[in-house]
Amino acid sequence: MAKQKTTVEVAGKKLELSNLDKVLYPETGFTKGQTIDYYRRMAPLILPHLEGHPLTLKRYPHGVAEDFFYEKRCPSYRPEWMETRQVDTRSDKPLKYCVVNDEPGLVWVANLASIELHSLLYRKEHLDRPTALVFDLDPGPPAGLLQCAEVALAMRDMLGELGLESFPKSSGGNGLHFYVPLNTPVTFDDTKGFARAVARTFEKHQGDQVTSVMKKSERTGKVFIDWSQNDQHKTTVCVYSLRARQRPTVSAPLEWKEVEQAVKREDASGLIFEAEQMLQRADKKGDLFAPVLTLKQKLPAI
Amino acid sequence: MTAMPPRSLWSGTISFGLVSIPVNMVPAVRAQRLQFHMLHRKDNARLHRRMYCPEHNTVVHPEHIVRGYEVEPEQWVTVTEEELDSLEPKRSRSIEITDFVQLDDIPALYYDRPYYLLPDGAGKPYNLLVEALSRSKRAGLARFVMHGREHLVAVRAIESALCLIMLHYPSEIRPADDLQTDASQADKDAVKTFRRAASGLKWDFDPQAHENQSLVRLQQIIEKKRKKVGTVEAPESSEAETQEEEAEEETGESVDLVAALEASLARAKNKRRK
Repeated sequence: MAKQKTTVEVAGKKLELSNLDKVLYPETGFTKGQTIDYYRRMAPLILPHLEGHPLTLKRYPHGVAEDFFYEKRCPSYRPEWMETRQVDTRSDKPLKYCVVNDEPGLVWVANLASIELHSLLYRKEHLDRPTALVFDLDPGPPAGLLQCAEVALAMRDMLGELGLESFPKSSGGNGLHFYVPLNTPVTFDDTKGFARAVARTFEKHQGDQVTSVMKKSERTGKVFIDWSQNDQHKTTVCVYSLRARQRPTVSAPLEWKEVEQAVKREDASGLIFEAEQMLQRADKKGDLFAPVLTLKQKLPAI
Repeated sequence: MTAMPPRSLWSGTISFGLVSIPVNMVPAVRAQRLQFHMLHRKDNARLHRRMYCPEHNTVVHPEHIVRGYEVEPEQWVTVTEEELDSLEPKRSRSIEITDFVQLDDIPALYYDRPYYLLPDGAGKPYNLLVEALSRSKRAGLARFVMHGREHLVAVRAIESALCLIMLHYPSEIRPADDLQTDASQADKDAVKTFRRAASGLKWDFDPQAHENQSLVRLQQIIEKKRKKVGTVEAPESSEAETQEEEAEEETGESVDLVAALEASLARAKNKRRK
């Protein structure tokens, strides 16, 4: 079958899109065209979070049920207007990563079946200046999203005592991501050291609920507080990114009251949003993660 | 307590001419030095070695460490892991014997570490080789790659087993003439007297008579302390840390930070309870 191609114009730039009818999520029939459409409609909200951050593309050329690959290097056949940034990788030579700053860029990477967008924590040339501190709360079965929600609330309260405001988003699966905006001069050594100390403190006092150890065997029935993402070389899935799960779920920003309610009702299903719900929610709530971009906070000077 | 069968370090074939015999290689000696762990005196937490940079007063993570060979004082040539890897010879699949030499022709100084080669499967050709080597008082010489290094080895029979002995390379052996000793100048009559005196002492080598005394004494002390004083253990939280420690980057978590976090956690918990 010949590739179906469609030429579109996005913000004055011509783009050739291919195979729009291809189903990327076999369970729901969500197509590549819908994926691109989701990102295009979410552009006003997601672009400010992508801007300046080098991006790793997690590509699923044959849909979520088939093999995927991480593409760090921005493909050489990129349009000439696509911004790239040289990134020192740990294992490879320095690579040119894509940086998505505008709608055409977003549509172009979506057309590569880059279902998931994973960004580095720093912006532009500020290699050693994370814009936020992040924790990935990852439950080990039988623990799940609900247990993550409980841990996230405890972490919010604890960091609140230190004068730090934090923001949660769903991972799109069973986990939660916990962001502490910084937007001030800080280094990865600072954030990683702090994050680790936080994880360890929780582990020490709530060891039955929490572990700071990545090992799967340590995680059974506990929430793993992954502090190690606070690293110049590590990417975290961007807010509003689709996730390559069975259904087209989204890494969606949450309100703390929603997290509280989930814990109170012992039902975390209200914390999961799929693409269509996300679009409606965005209309209603706007960018709940906007403070992550603007709120200036400093880690306690200790 | 019965001894665990030693783990095979290598398996392959030993071959010469058209004969090839499958074998497993196991260590013939076990290190008996007692190993100590270093503990923090105050709470017995297990300590780790770290590379420390005095220049920056920091601990340096392995990924930021490079090997340097000092060619002149304070002048290094750096060598990467990749460069070292590229030199690694391919692991041998077989021990190919090239020569059979008289056992006595291998000076004792060349003997380094001994291993047993155990028959893997049919024992017939294995037993033949053991018998042949044993009767001829000969050893087979071969070059053999294990753990990324090529070794010169001798294969000989010890009782009813084949034994592989790693040999030193000639360049590793310090020639005796460097030592400026000269036995030829010894007085003939004096030598006779010496031999007569020595013949009164036992001539048979009886290893059982030579127990490792210092090891035995140390084991006795440890056993005694265990009974009398008991054991100590690390504080609870340290186990998880030691397991992951290798993979982690040292970012200098200060005690004050931990204290501050604990205080804030306690405050947060109190408020929730209210």
